Amino acid sequence: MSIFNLRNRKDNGKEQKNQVEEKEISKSTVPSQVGQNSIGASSENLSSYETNPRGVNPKGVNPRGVNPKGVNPKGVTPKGVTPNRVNLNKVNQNAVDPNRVNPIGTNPMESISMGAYESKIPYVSDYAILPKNPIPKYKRLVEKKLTVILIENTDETVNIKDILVKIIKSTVSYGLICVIKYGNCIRQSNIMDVASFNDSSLLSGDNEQNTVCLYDALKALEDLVNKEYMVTHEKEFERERVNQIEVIGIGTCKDNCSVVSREVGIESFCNVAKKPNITTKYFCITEESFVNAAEIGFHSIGAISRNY
Amino acid sequence: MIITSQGFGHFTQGLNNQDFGMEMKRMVIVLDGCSGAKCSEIGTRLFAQLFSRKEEAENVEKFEDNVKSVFDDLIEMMKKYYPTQEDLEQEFIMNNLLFTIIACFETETEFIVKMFGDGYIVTQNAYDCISYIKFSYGKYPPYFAYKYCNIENYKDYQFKTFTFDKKAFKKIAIASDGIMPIAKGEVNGLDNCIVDGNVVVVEMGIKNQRQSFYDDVTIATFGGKL
Repeated sequence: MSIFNLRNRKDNGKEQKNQVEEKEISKSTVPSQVGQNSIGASSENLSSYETNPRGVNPKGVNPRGVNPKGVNPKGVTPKGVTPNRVNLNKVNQNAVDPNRVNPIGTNPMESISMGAYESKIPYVSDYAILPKNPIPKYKRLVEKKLTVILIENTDETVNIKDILVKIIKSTVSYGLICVIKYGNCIRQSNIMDVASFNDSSLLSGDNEQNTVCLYDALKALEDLVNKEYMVTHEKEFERERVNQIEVIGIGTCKDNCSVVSREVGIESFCNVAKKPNITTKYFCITEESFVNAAEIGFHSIGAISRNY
Repeated sequence: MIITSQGFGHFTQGLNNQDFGMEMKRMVIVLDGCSGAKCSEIGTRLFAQLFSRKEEAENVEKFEDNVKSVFDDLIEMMKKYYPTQEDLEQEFIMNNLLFTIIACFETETEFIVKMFGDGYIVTQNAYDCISYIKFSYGKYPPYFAYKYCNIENYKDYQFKTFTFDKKAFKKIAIASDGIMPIAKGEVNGLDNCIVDGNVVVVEMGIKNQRQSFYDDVTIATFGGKL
């Protein structure tokens, strides 16, 4: 006994027609989301449907072929639903009683023309009601630019902090920012939006011995770039990817306490600099540091005291 | 190898290319004439010709003395044509001798660059990374000729010397400040061609985007391809 026969118990004189439509449905393609719920239901499922007044098969297989996970929790059937996607848990509040006569004169059930499904489809509302805050299934990909500030944390840079803040503000205007401070140790900030960047955290001034570990910082830079460059991160409503990196170095380009050797540090930096869409700049405090910066391989080198 | 190209600004204003470059066996020199001077292209070419005839012109230790000697000779020659010192300064020195001087010497173990004024040094380190070192003084850079004028600016300014060890640097090139569009990354694909001295590719790259190069550009390096 087919499911349509069950539904059409109240209908008179249409049983023969329903049996013809049933065959056509079974031949039609069923969406995979229906899962194991086939239209050609077994007798076993039908028996449990008959006993369950709510129409839901307690065994989990819906005889009507509806995926229970696809049921609208609010009880309103979305627009465009196929005849198999009927909410059996709750009555469609906007559904038209098939036995109700349309005061205008036409039977809404008969006016719906969908080929093989004609006159047997419950009426759905014209307005699709979506749940609040839907989580999109396919999130858009947003590409962003990351600016890495590689700044020397010594007395020389602390004394000109105001000038450095102006340079950074004029150079970095959008995208993401990350600060790597190097002195007697390396401190790396989180990657944040430029709008939420706090200038006061740029330099700490706690490097009393004025030791500098530049090559360690270059190694840390390479690790950061390998972790972030062209890597997609899943966010709540979108996917984020850094496709462009600008490295801005500030200081004297000296080193006196790195664990990593000079060759390893420079090689790490050159591995970063050679990647596409990665630009590097170095603002030297004085012209004496120009040769050091060129040895490392920064693309654009200039002095802070000059127009750059 | 010398590459020189007239700037688009000079082309539209009907001015000559005021840059000049010269290559010797162990020395290359780039002279960038002041755009505000009427005939600085005359000064750059005249200075280069006289300098190349100096004894030991390629000796890095005697370079600064040779430059001063050429300037002394030029001004001494022209004094009789200008009755007063003020005329000499305003009519001859300020119109002809305002140009920056950048020279690069190659020895067995290092490159030595001497600069008086603004310009660029282009380097290639041991890992093939190209760097553009910018020397900029804004609108009024220092000129060697100011030492012969009654001007307080840059009176005590001297040549700046930079040494590049051949163990750390594979190649060095020097350039006038007109190379800025390439240094800023506005013209891609020419970095390696500049240090390799690939004249054809660099000239084509500059001419293809001529409007980006407002100022005259001159690049000098050792060796190169024609």
